[in-house]
Amino acid sequence: MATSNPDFPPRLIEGEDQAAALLARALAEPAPGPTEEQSWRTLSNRPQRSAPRWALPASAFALSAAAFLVWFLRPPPAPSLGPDVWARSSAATPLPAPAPAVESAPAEALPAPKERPKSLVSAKREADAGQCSQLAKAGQYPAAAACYGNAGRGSSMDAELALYEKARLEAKALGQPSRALATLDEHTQRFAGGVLTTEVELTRIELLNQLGRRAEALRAIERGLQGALGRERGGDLQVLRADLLSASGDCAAAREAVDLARQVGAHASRLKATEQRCPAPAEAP
Amino acid sequence: MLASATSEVDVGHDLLDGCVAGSAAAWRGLHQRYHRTALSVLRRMGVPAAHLEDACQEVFVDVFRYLPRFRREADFRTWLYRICLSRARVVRRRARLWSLFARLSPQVGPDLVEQPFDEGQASRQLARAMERLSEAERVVFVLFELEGLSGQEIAEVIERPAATVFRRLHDARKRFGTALEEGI
Repeated sequence: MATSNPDFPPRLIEGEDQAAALLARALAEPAPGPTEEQSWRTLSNRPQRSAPRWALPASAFALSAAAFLVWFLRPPPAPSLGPDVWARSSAATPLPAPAPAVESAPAEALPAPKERPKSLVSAKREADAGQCSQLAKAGQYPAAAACYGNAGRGSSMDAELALYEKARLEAKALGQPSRALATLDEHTQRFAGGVLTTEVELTRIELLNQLGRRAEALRAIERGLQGALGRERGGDLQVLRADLLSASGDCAAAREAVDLARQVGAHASRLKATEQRCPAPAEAP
Repeated sequence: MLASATSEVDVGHDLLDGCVAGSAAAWRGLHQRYHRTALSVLRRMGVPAAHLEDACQEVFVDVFRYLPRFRREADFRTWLYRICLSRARVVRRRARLWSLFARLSPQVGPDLVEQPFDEGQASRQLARAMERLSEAERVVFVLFELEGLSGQEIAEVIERPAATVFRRLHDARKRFGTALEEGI
């Protein structure tokens, strides 16, 4: 092995600051984990892989066949882009008018918070997401959102999940789509490339649509179709795109989107609203 | 003391020849020599406690499987580090998925997520501070500061120029220092 490169700085542990002290203490601590002997024993008893050479292709074929069967026998698709969006689409009703500038009040069906939650006051920075979930289950939505906000302050995956939960609560339970959108923007900024990237994009499209910001929703869909979201949920995106285009009167583009949606397997029932708004032109005799 | 000093002599070709020839004693010798190194890298790269032993075994299974194809002009330890880093990445991704599933459905694999290491306070603090680093920064930080590799050795492990290693180390130290200042 090569020796130390003289251009490199001395190691932190050679210093006398806080980092050096921490590294020295950490390296001096006994390392957890199995001993070499235990590990070797387990490794020696590990079953040998004895599958024949054709096992992998055969398994892949069997899995593909099973996946095809599942797809073929699937029930009619349920709305998947958010109940509010698809309920409107399937009922062939026009898309909602742009939302007023002021946030709407919380949905009537949702129970109002019964009391000022204690945890809202005492929620710590590293709040436990489990507590937040309990608050949400108890119908204490503002407290739950604040709790998720606290839990979402770090940079871990827990924080990423918590921030997304906050946005969902704001959108679905608190009836504050604009605030939810701002939370999603923060999420995208802080957790670019995180585990929930596609979910965040999808929720953003739903919210833009809900707020009547169709042009932005369409742009977000176009962006989504270019990336991982398009690969995972291309059908859903094309159906929504067709719906938005037909609602804005662009029937040629809407019909094109309908064709694309069909190509990726979208069920006919989900395209009904668009086709009613934009029927195919009668063929010339 | 660093987990594996730079001055450590790399594994001899005799031992590797013995392994390739199927000598159980040679395999045991190789395992004895590098077991702690593999465990240490995996742990410092953030492999959760519940996955640590499996991950370490998978590293040696990879070594056993691919050793016959290992080119002797390269350094064995560099190769081993590369396998460890790659395995750590896979296991962490798997653990993240488990964690996500456990959240969606609490009865799925709760024992496989978020089990803290049974280790000392300083190691826990170090792990928390290193969470602030990006994957690439963490690799360089762990190999340089904890494993004691030189810049050139790290450049060989990650297959990037030494200047890139230096830049990543600089960024990693900055973030690490900030994390400590913030009392992590």
